[in-house]
Amino acid sequence: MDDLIAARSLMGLSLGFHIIFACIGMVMPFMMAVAHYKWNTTGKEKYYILTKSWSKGVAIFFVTGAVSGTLLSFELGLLWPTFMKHAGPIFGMPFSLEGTAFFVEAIALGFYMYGWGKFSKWFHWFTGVLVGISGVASGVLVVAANAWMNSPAGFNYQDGVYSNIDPLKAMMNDAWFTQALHMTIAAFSATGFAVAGIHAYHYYKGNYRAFHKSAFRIALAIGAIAAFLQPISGDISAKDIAKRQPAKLAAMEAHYHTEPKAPLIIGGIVDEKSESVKYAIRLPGFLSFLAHGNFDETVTGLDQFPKDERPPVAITHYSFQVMVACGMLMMLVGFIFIISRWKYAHILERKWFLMLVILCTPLGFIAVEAGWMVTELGRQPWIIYGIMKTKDALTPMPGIQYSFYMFAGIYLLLAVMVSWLMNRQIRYINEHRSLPKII
Amino acid sequence: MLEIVIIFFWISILLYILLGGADFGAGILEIFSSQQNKIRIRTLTYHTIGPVWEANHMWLIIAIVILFVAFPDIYATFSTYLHIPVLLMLIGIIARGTAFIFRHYDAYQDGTSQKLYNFIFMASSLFTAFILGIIGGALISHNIPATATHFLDIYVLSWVTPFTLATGVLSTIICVFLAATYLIGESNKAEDKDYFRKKSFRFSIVIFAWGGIALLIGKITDVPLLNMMLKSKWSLSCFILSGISLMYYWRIIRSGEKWRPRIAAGAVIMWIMATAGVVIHPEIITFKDQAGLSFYNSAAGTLTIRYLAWALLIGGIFIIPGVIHLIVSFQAKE
Ligand code: HDD
Ligand code: HEM
Ligand code: HEM
Repeated sequence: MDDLIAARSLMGLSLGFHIIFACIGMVMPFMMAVAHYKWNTTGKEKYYILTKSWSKGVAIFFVTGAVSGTLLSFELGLLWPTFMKHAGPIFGMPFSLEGTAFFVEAIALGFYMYGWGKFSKWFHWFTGVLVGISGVASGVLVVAANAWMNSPAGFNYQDGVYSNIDPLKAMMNDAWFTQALHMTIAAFSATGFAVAGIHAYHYYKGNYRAFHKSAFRIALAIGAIAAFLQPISGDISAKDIAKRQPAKLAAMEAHYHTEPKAPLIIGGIVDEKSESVKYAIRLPGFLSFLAHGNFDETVTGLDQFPKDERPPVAITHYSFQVMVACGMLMMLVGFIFIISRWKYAHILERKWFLMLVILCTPLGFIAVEAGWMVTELGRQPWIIYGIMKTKDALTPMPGIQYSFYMFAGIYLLLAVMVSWLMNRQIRYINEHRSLPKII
Repeated sequence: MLEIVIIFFWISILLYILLGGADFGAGILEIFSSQQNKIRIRTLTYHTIGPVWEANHMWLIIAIVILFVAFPDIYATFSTYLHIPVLLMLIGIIARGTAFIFRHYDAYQDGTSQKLYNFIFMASSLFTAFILGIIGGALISHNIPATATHFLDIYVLSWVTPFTLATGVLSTIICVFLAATYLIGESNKAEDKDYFRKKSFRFSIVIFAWGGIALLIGKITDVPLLNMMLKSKWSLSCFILSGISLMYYWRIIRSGEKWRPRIAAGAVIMWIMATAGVVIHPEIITFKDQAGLSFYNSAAGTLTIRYLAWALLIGGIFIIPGVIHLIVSFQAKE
């Protein structure tokens, strides 16, 4: 493995790991707050247990998110010193604000976790909501940094010199809004579906049904609403990219040749050598419509870019399709849920419906990972779009592959440990119908 | 504006050393305690450090963010030359953070898994504190070769020296000292208080002795630190202040009080750090064969610094009262 590939893989792996915990850290507190609200208003035991067990989930994920995030803030320098040397002062604004958001989050979490019985019940509840608000704020802020890499702003660049740096303008770059919107909604749909799936499974198995039923409904309600908004926001993103990063759009649609009435390609196998897609379904004019809102418009293809400025096509295209497919499925399940909640409550008890929800457990996170693959790979070969190439940002330190293997092992271990821990929490509650004691 | 950023940087580093150090130290202290005392420490640390644990950790991140936003050269150089120890430190931080949380949130508090978490927690506390000391030692010892070309010279020998090993040991001792002193004030039982008071006192003597040895090792292996310290009246003053603080600490440690020993212990460590900082001032990263990097010769543009300073000031308004409130709310009841 050469150092560039190793470093890119390590960066992708670390971010791909972090994002799971970040999403859960943003959304779980809100679910916990809903359960807590119901406990405060109804006084039913099951809501108390639910609140407490979700809050433990929040704590476990928060710490794993925090350590993986700490790792990232060093890793940017360990792997891409040249990038950070130039980009740090430009895109640092959101990171410095994010510090405050994290702090507020950590402090609020301290109050919440250790504050049972110490504060008035609504103040205590509010600290839980604050955990969620600051979590979302930090997510939105850090996406501004990534958006800047896609849509550099706030500086002048000439012959390797970065001048007239304005960090505020850099933060307010064109890509921030669409990316942050799409990312935040994604966090809600992914976490909502994942949590709903796990509780649906236990409900299905007949474990402590009153508890798992409430849990599954709260989580799925959140997931379903988000799953509805997701494709709308995805469409805004795609139109935005068509203007801003035509090479990325062309790669994710495997659109090689510039043409009017461009077809939308669904499925198929990309052959990068012959620059074609085999065995695909083609909907004529639909790509033009999705990219520009008009069936006849010309869509820029990869042929407009020199070979060394094209992103990898096959993997970007497959990732995009995976994301959209997951999104459509989740929207469908969300639709069934909302309709049933409203009119046909018995459907929610049906085995097939529970089975469907169980099958959807990983879909949101698969879509999140695939979406980031589209964003990051679609930007290649650039690390700062149009300004600096990824290969020029690499550290001179050799042997990055060993770091990659090591961290791959560590992440695998952590993922296994966290799942095991969560499973033990739930098993305990199923067995004892009460909360595990802490020391 | 640059000054504000620099002050925030040093405050974050200092708070990380003091609060984070106490936190690392609690893990190390467990290693050097009998089985029964281990449980005592564990229960206490959960109740006192638990609530603020996350916040401690943040100080390091603030410092790193300040570095890469305002002093990108320092950040890039630091993470290139000290790539390996930084990597090791990160592994330690991951292992520690997860082991800490796992051992408290595992639903079944049974034997084997708890043993494993405890082992990882203790081992990684020791390891991380040691590596942090090595990194600190490497930054101040004028041993990073800016012009070398050989892998070992650039990436390994710059931080593996007798002197950095000595500062590594010193930082572990400092952590234990801080933890023991902190825990005196958190104990409710007289016997616990007594236990931590003794530990704290013993480790204060070890710091004194080992600090001397570390300087001597530096002197023997040609680290220019001692000579430079003797020449600069500012760093000499800091050094003397650390001595005075230590004597004050020795005088009041018997009292078993809560706050004065803590403040004195914090002052000892603060002045030791200040001595090292002032010796290499204005440099932050020292090189073997050329002038080092300082906050002044590597600062980012004025607009970046100005926005960062504002972000830090505004953040401070939110954070500092929050942290204080958090600590006060969860003080052990007398
Ligand atoms: C639950 C997860 C999820 C789902 C169901 C979808 N997405 Fe997505 N998508 C993401 C999660 C995501 C993401 C992981 O959050 C990304 C990566 C970068 C970003 O801002 O969001 C993303 C990126 C992303 C991008 C690239 C943005 C950029 O590079 O700036 C586009 C064009 C779309 N999405 C479009 C869609 C469309 C048309 C969807 C229709 C169903 C869709 N996404 C569903
Ligand atoms: C959490 C969400 C994110 C995920 C999952 C993600 C994913 C990835 C992936 C898969 C790569 C490797 C691309 C390749 O193989 O070329 C990568 C590279 C990179 N990402 Fe992201 N990214 C995320 C957000 C960010 C953010 C917010 C930043 C902002 C600093 C960032 C900075 C980088 C850098 C510096 C690289 C290396 C250069 C490159 O290959 O383009 N990423 N990321
Ligand atoms: C777009 C991608 C990212 C998102 C949405 C995101 C979001 C989050 C969130 C919500 C948390 C809180 C953890 C929790 O509550 O579980 C977190 C933690 C953290 N993230 Fe990220 N992050 C992203 C990428 C990054 C990158 C690229 C960096 C580093 C440069 C980073 C640095 C951190 C740090 C240092 C923490 C720990 C803070 C703490 O101790 O609370 N994140 N992130």
